[in-house]
Amino acid sequence: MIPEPKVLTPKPFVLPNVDKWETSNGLSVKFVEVGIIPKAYFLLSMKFGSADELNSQVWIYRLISDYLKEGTIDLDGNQIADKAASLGGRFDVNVDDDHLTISGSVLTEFSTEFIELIGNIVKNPRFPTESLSRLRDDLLRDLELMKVQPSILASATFRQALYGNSGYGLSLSTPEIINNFSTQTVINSYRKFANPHETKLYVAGMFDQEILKEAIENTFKEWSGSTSDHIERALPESSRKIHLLDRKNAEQSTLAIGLPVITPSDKNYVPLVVMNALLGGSFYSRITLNIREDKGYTYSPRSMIASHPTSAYWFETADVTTNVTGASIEEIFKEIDLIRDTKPSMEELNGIKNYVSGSYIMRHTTPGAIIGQLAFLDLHNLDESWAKNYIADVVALNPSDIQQIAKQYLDPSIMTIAIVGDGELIKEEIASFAPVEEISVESLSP
Amino acid sequence: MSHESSDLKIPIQQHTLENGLKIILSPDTTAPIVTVAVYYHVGMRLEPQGRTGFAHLFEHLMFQGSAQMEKMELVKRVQENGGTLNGSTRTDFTNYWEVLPKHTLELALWMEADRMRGPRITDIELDNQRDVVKNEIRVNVLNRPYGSFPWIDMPGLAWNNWHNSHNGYGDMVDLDAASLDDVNEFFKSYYSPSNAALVIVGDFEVDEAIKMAETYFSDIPSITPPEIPNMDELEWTQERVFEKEDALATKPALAISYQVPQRNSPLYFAMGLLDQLLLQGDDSLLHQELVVKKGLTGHIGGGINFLGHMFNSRTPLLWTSSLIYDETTDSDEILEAFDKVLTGVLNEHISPEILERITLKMRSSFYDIFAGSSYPGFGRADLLASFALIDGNAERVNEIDSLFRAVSLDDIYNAANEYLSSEKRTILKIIPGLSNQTQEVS
Repeated sequence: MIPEPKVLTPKPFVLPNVDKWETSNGLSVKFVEVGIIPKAYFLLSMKFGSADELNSQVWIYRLISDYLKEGTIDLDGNQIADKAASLGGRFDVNVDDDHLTISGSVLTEFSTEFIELIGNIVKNPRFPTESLSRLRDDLLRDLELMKVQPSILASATFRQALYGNSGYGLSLSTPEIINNFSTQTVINSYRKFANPHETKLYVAGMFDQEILKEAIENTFKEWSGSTSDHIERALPESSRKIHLLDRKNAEQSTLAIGLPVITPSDKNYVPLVVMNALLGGSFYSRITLNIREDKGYTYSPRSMIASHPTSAYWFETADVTTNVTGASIEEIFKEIDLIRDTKPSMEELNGIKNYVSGSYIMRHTTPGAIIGQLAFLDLHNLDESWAKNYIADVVALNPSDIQQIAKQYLDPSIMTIAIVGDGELIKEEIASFAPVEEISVESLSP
Repeated sequence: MSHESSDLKIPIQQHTLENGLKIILSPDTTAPIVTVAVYYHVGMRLEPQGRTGFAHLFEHLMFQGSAQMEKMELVKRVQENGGTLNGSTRTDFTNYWEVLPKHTLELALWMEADRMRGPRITDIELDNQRDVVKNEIRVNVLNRPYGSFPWIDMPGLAWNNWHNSHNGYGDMVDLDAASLDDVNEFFKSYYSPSNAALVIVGDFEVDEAIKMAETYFSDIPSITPPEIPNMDELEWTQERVFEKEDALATKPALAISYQVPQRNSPLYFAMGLLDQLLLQGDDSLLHQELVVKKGLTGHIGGGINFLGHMFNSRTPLLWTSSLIYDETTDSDEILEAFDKVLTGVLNEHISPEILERITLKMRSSFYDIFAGSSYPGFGRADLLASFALIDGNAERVNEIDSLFRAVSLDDIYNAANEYLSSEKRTILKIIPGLSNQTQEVS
């Protein structure tokens, strides 16, 4: 046996240098040179998303994200795809609750041509009428496929329980809505919000800063676009209730248990992150050690904080064997009670503090992670000092802070419980945790 | 501006301990972290018959305690030192890795050396991880539509050799049969320094790291692993078509598989480019025909190697295209569109411009393997370990670009004609249904 080595002392971590600037028409750009792989990674993020959809137009921005690939004034969709490929580039267009994004990567030597192509798509989308029915068919197919995936259904059920029939609460569209989408609606919905002032561009990896800066300025300087009022974001509410979506013969129950919490701009957010990592947000966390490593009820339990600019929620999710659905819920609440009732030991807390600090360092090492981190800061309007002080804020916590945070924010008496599972087999045992409301897949759409 | 290509130059040092452990070091000061990965040259293909899923179950057991560490202590140590970790089981490897702040490199090596000496477990840990693995299979396969399509279904139907065809993720009955004796036997056979590679990527001093590795690994005894059984497959001479019902699916799906050329044979790299030409990205010929022109599906996907990419598995491997489509569409219509694309590539040489484009795409997607993982440094470690264990030389990572650039128009044409003709394929149709039965229909 060779004895364990002593671990040395870490050196303070220095954040990578971010070059921030704006184009002459107000597009915000952030550059980070990092790594030794000759590629540049991009994210262009426009500030509108599915939360800006009317209930009569749910998924219009999903349609637009597909539609943007269909061509520009001077290139058709195939020509765009060929052009990107000939640069060693690829890109995806995606929409989330608050953003429409174009993300991708390109070989370093073709960075400028690639940014010109992305700029062309953003400025001059063609939205050809002949693509409409095919893209609607794709959405209809996606809708049917999403309706049978338990993980998607559990997340949709949970979000609807919190946000109701608002943008954040409606995950699924309907065939009627999709079939009603017209090219004119697409054009109007895109033009309504696409503008340089509310758009951010991030580039990380290997590239020539000076040359790319010039290309970005030249590409975007004549983009004007308009801005409009966004739909007011709903605030989440929660009460102790089970929202059950019946899925006959399910081998597992898919659980999501949680409630609204504070957003990253709150001073208690970093302590909440540390508390979450200790409770369920890491492999060596209490809930995971309990329901996976001790009892074997599940494979991938995890807890997390999901955040929007105006609201956030914490939840624990797990796919548990059907016959231990009640037992799993009981153990999850036991762990929540324990962290609220008892301070963690200094040793446990120190371990988790190092884990959270280390994870923060990891988020500043690869191009994709760095872009994600910068976009997170922008999403929540967090300034440089937030990023700089993060590790110090983590290190400063003591055991009673963690207990206090759990007490303040994880009140089990108002936690929403979403379950997708075999109602007939589990209904009786889950009824002891909260009143049960059965919902249908259809109710997840407007 | 000029388009001088910036070639990839990954710094590599290789070293072998007396007990046979291969050590590959690749320094990189981008960030103050190190990635430590240990690869054992045993994966799903080598697990014992009647014990499908055993290599995977064994991977879980390697987190359950070793001589100087309790169950989950390794996970605890990594986390409390600011790191993250995982493991995975593939066709030919089982791997374990940590990414940690640089000052903890020595601890990481000590921990990996400790578990290389063997897991220390009882039936309690075995039973617990059996339940965890069963839940893993439920969540990823049994409790979702298309859960085994095509990654488990297709090898099971297409391959004739058990080593390639069986379900390595795990069969519930076989998992129940696994015992502590199996654990000991499997460990003794395959988990030996002579059958492993240690990769260190990141911010460290090469000489110091070699010294540390010597300190912790050099006294681990080595055995000669059993001879690798024959894993060859017969050449296919007749198209085979299977239908499988999926009780949870609501739309039909289709997968089409061909065998790829033997790893590192002259046409192997041409096959990688054919994958780029036909299937990868929105410019690919199958996407443009089936998705854009015909609107038969929203997405056609696939590639070489269900559990990775063309660099991190031995052959035989399948090149597979798969898609989900509407019940109102006939599968013959899909195959007709598919064949139209394939026939074009079989009948005519592609243009030099297209060859240039797909070579660039290949280079770009190869680079993405380095940058793309959520574990910093892991993509690089994975390639280095794969080239070291399969091809005997990690330096090969720096040759891949030029090997693809050497592929000619004739190579593309010949690879297509030798490997992608319709009699040399297996087709699987998923029928939304009430049962989970499979049958051969032609």
